[in-house]
Parts: sequence; structure tokens; C-alpha cells
Amino acid sequence: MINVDADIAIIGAGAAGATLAATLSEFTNKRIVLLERGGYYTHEFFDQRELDMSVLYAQRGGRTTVDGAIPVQSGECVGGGTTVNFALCFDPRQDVWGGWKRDMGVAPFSFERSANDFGVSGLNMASALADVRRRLNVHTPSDDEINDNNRNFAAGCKALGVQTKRFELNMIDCIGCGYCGQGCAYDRKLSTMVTYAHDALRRNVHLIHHCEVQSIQFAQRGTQRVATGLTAIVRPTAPGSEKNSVEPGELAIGAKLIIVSAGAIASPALLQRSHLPDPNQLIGRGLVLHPSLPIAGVFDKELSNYRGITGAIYSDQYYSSHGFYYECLFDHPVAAACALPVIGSEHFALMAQYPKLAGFGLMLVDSVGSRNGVLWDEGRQTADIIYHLSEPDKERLRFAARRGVEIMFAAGAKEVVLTSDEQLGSLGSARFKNRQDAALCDRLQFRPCETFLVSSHAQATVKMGEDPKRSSVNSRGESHACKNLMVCDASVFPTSCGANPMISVMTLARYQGKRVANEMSRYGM
Amino acid sequence: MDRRAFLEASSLAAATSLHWLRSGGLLGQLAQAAPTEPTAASNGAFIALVKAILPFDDPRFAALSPAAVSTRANALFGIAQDAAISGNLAVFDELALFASPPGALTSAELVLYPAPTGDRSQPATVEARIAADAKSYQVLSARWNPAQPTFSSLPLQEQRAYVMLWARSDLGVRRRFYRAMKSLIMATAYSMDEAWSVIGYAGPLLHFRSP
Ligand SMILES: Cc1cc2nc3c(=O)[nH]c(=O)nc-3n(C[C@H](O)[C@H](O)[C@H](O)COP(=O)(O)OP(=O)(O)OC[C@H]3O[C@@H](n4cnc5c(N)ncnc54)[C@H](O)[C@@H]3O)c2cc1C
Ligand code: SF4
Repeated sequence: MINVDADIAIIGAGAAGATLAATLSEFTNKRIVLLERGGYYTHEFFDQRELDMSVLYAQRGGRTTVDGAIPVQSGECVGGGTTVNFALCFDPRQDVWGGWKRDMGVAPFSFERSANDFGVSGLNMASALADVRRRLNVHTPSDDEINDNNRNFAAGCKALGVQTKRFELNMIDCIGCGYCGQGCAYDRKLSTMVTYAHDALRRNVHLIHHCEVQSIQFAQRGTQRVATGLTAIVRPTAPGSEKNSVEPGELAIGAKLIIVSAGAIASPALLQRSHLPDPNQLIGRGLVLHPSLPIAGVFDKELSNYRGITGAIYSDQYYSSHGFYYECLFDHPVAAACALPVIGSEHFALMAQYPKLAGFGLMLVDSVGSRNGVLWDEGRQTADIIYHLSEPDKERLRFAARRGVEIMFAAGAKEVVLTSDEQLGSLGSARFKNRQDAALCDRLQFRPCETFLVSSHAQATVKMGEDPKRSSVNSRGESHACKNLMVCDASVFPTSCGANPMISVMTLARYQGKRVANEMSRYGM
Repeated sequence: MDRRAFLEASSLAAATSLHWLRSGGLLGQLAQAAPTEPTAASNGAFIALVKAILPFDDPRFAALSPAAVSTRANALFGIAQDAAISGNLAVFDELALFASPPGALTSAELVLYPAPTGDRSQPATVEARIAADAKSYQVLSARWNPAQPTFSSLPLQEQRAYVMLWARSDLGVRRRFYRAMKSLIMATAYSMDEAWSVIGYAGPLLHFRSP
């Protein structure tokens, strides 16, 4: 058993964890340990092969909801989701944060640059966001960086009067290889692995990777429960990873402040596993996934699809009326083959036209349902993800699918395909030969495993709010049940943050990091 | 372990539900409690499934062979060695079990796919789901030779129709088995360089084959 003593222990080196480690090491000189379950892989490791690079994903890319229906993807490596994501950047939505302030009593999270939140000089969301945007070089790609797939999508939208926008991206001098999902082999994507985690390491944050935190320890001090430390298992370093800072084996860490940033699936699982008191059984509950349905089109001629920046154009035209986005994306062969409908020669008829395929996805901002959640299964030692689409959410998906099929036809596709094995009315499978048939989307049932939906934006499982009956942590991210324990990652959002979450998560982490640095006495430091 | 072996051993990408199959799958906990030795029959069923799912009947797909794909699937995912997966394949192979599934399968269904309240997309009771499956099976199987009661012995087009019966089954565990097998076989085949030239994918920009 290795013992490590620290002031602050951060669990998870993803979007939130790495940002916190960098921020806390920038503004304090405390001893900080950063614990990451996955490996520390750098650009030399990324070989642009889908199956190989599945080691960068939680459960090797095989994690799904318990019914097997929805792959729930996240990164498991230094950088977390930011190492494998598509670098699509959305500023935190002020309308959504405003709603949280109203409904959950979340405060203050000011978006005015002059505000001094929590009495900390210069602390506000606007400046935290500005820091993150600067560090990540968030910018809009230029015209010549847009590939045919994105152009076609924009043209299809335009033809139907659907407004499109250009994504902002956290990249620098991108060469447009198209392999963001397999890790950037050229260090052009400014993931937290190459930015904030790098900064933290330079400032002597103690990173331990291949380190799975198993449980958080508590002590009773008078009437107060206090987090005092944690236990973890360090696995042998996998080939291809950077060297580790400790030997494999059991690890015990004592710390004055523990920050859980393990992501919206692993954070609630860890808290349940640690038996954190949860009288209202809220931890893990109310999960949202942003279920996404890919839409493919077959064109007459070859186009640049898998090369170039994968996602450059999106549409939020239907966000306020129906709560979904269209986002341009494209899959490499393994993911495409798994998603495209049916089998045999009919499936191959699509695969054989791979260079003529176009793709975009519809991403649903799903509603919070109390039946949906994460449940730590003590017997099997796994986090079960329980998720059922609600009827109103299915209705919105149908509308979005129908409109999406129309957009793909308007873009010039001669055939449009949904990733569904359902037979839709007169169609043998979800392959549409003309625009009129788009109306058949109204029949989609979205039965588990029959229609392929995918999620990479799990959120809202350890909700923040000021009422302990409705939330698990307060606005500072501190547990209602225990002192010196904070949660800071996509879990604390009370609902979906209303967009792709990375920048919202990082802004929150930058904000909380600056706050903690100025409120050390709250944590006995 | 060297890098290549490590990557291959841990490459479960898209092999959604492999862990579910390994821990019982269609047969729930039963498959674990009473492991059936992997048999020649279940291996035969797997190869037949590989042929039904992939387009070997298309001359353009000649760069790949069923043997190469199933060998690779075994190396990546340990199909042949796994008793639970073999048990699942045996259930899939036995056509008669489609109309009257074994008890273990129906209890696995109940656990994983209870009818969520307010969801009208599938029949609420397991009995109703089985009845619906039996009905669609009847229509299809009328064409089949009763003397050859296994999936592996059906002609290719009928095999594909049977696989799609699973894909669109009213029983969730059957759809899941389909999804798992499809993902696993597609991932195996389309991660092979040989498949890339077939579909016109140029492959990684980095021009090295990982060691
Ligand atoms: C393929 C993909 C594409 C995406 N594309 C985009 C995009 O383009 N734009 C966007 O905004 N968002 C995108 N996202 C989502 C975004 O990456 C996530 O929302 C974000 O990373 C969440 O941050 P987080 O800090 O909550 O968790 P993560 O970034 O997931 O970090 C959590 C970390 O904790 C580690 N961990 C888990 N359990 C333990 C434990 N017990 N002990 C130690 N460590 C542990 C994990 O390994 C992980 O590294 C994408 C996600 C994926 C998977
Ligand atoms: S597309 Fe650009 S940012 Fe993405 S992996 Fe390639 S070079 Fe890196």
C-alpha cells in the first residue's frame, strides 16, 4: 500500500479535472494530486485506427445503457472526453444558467465581467470563459477549412430556409486529417491533455494515471461528516502510455479537499460506491444523454467527408421550438458500418459508396426524467446506466428526423438513410428514396437496439442547487452531506446545459478553481 | 505485453454488449451456471452469421474471406472460447426456439426490458411479445425445409431474413443479440485494411502500420 499525503485530491483528469488542477496550481501553492483512471497517451500513440484507439474510451468504447441500446461514450485517459472529442465549442448558454438560478437557486454565476462572485475579486463566468477560450484558442474555422460534407449540409439547410452557423473549434493550425475522434496525432486539437493538464504538470501537480479511485473515506467530527481521503488501485502502465509516477498496487491518499471530476457516469457511481449519505436518493438520478441520431445521404459523386474538419457547421434553428441541434459529423468505417441499417448486400450497397456518403447528426437536448440514472451495482462492480426515452422526447426526435431527411435531400442526396432497422410503412428499411417519404419518420418507434442512437454528452447526475431535497451539491459544488467534498464536472448541471458541454464544463471548472483558491479557509487550509 | 497485443486484447470498440453476452446474454445467469462447452455447432452458427451479415456473395468483397473474419473475431473478442457466447449462438441457431423461446430467455427479457410506463412502442407483457414473434416467424418459416431445423442450414437469403427477424423482434433481448453480433462482426471486418480498399477509404494519414 502506497500512502500519499496531499492538500487537494482531484479525481479524474478530464475536461473539468485538468482545468481545476491547472487553475489551483496557478493560484495556490498547495500540494495537488490528480488521479486518472485511464492512461497518459500523447500524440505519438494516436495511430488513427478506430479499434486501436478504443483504449482511449471508457470500457474500450463498449459502454452502453443497461438495455444495450445506446452507446454512452466518454474519454478515459488524461484529457478525458477532450482527448477524443470533435472540438466543437459552445459558450455556456446564459438562458440555461438563468433557468438554473431560477429553478434550483443556483447562484451567483454572473455573466458580467465586473462581478465579484462569492466576494472574490474578479470571479465571474465571463472572465472564466474568457480564460478558457484564450487557453484553448477557440476560434471559427476559415472558409477553406470547410469540407464538402459540411458544405452540402449548409446548402441543404439553406435550400429549406433552415439557418446554419459555423462552429467554433479549440484547435490551432489544424491540418484537417479528420481523426479528432482517435486523438490528434499532431497536437493541433487543444484538448486539456495538451493545455491545462500540461500546465498543471509544469507546476508540479502530482499526476497518477492508470489509477482508479475506488472509494472516498469519511470521518465524523462532532455533528459534521468530513471527507478525509480515498483509496485507489493503480494498474500496471499499459504499453504506449507515458510512465507513471508510482508503482502499481493499492494507493491511499489523505487530503483536506477532495474534488470529484470523474464525469457524469463515474462521479455518481463513485459517490454511491463510497456510501455518501443520500437520504433522498438523488445521486445518479435525472441523467440526460443528448441522444443523437445519425442521418446519412448517398450522393452522385465523391466528396470530401472523412477528411477535413469533421464538424464545422451546425444549425440551432429548432433549439428554442423543439430542443435539438443538427450538427455536421462523419464516421470512419467501423462506426459507419455498425450504425448503418440492415445487413448483407443491402448494407454493403451503402458501404460500397463510402466516398459518396454524407452525414450529419441530430442531437436531442433531452428532458430530465427521474427514472433515468446511474446506479452502482455492488455485485457486478459496474455503473449501470438506466435510460428510457420519454414519449415527448420521441415525438421531438421524429420531427427532427423528418426534417433532417428533407434537409439531406435538399442538399442533393439521391438517397437518405437513418441508422434504424425499423420497417417504415412502405419502406423495407429506413432508406428513403424520395423527399415525400420523409413523412414516414412519424412512425419511428425508437425501440431499444432497433434504432441506433448514440450519446457522448452524459450530464446532470449529481445536480447542484441550494435545496438539499432536490440537489446533491450546492452552488460551490460542495456536497450537502459532507464537508471538504466537492463535485465539479458535467454531473453537477441540473439539466442539460443546452449544448455540447465541453466549454460549459471547463468554464465551471475554471470558475470553481479560482473560487477555491480564494476560499481556502473553508477547507481548513 | 507488447503494444499490438495490448491494443488487440483491449479493442472492444463497437462490440457493444459483448460483456452482456459473456455474462449470459439471452440465457441470463443460466449460461454461467451451466456452461455449455463451445461446440462445432455454435462455431458453425457463428461462421454462418458472419456470412449472413457480411456481403461475401458480392464479388467486390472478395478481398476478405469468412475464415479470415471469424479468425480475427476470435482473436479480438474470444468468441469460440467463450461458453456463454456459444450458448447464445446455439439458441440463435435452433430455429424452433424462435416461436417458443427457452424460459431463461424470457426471464432475461423481463429483467432488461420491462415495459416502461407510458411506452406504447412494444407489447407490455412478455407473453404478448412472444406471440408477436411467433406470428412473424410463421410467415417466414413456411418457406423453410422442416428437415433442416437450424439457421446454419438455411439458404443465404433466408438466413438474412431470419437475422432481420431478430433485429425487429418484439423481444428486446433478441434485438440486443442482433445489435451485439452485428457490431462485433462489422467492427472486425471494417477495421481490416483489406476492407478499406473495397469501400474506397484511403486509411490513416499516418503511413505506418502500428507495430
Ligand atoms: C467522442 C466524443 C465526442 C465529443 N465531442 C464533443 C464536442 O465536440 N464538443 C463538446 O463540447 N463536447 C463533446 N463531447 C463531450 C465532452 O467531451 C464531455 O462533455 C466532457 O469531456 C465532460 O467533462 P467531464 O470533466 O465531466 O468528464 P470527462 O472529460 O469524461 O473526464 C472524466 C475523467 O475521469 C476519469 N475517471 C472516471 N472514473 C474515475 C475513477 N474512479 N478514478 C479516477 N479517474 C476516473 C475518466 O477516465 C475521465 O478521464 C464529446 C465526448 C465524446 C466522448
Ligand atoms: S482534424 Fe485537426 S484537430 Fe482534429 S485530429 Fe486532425 S489535425 Fe488534429
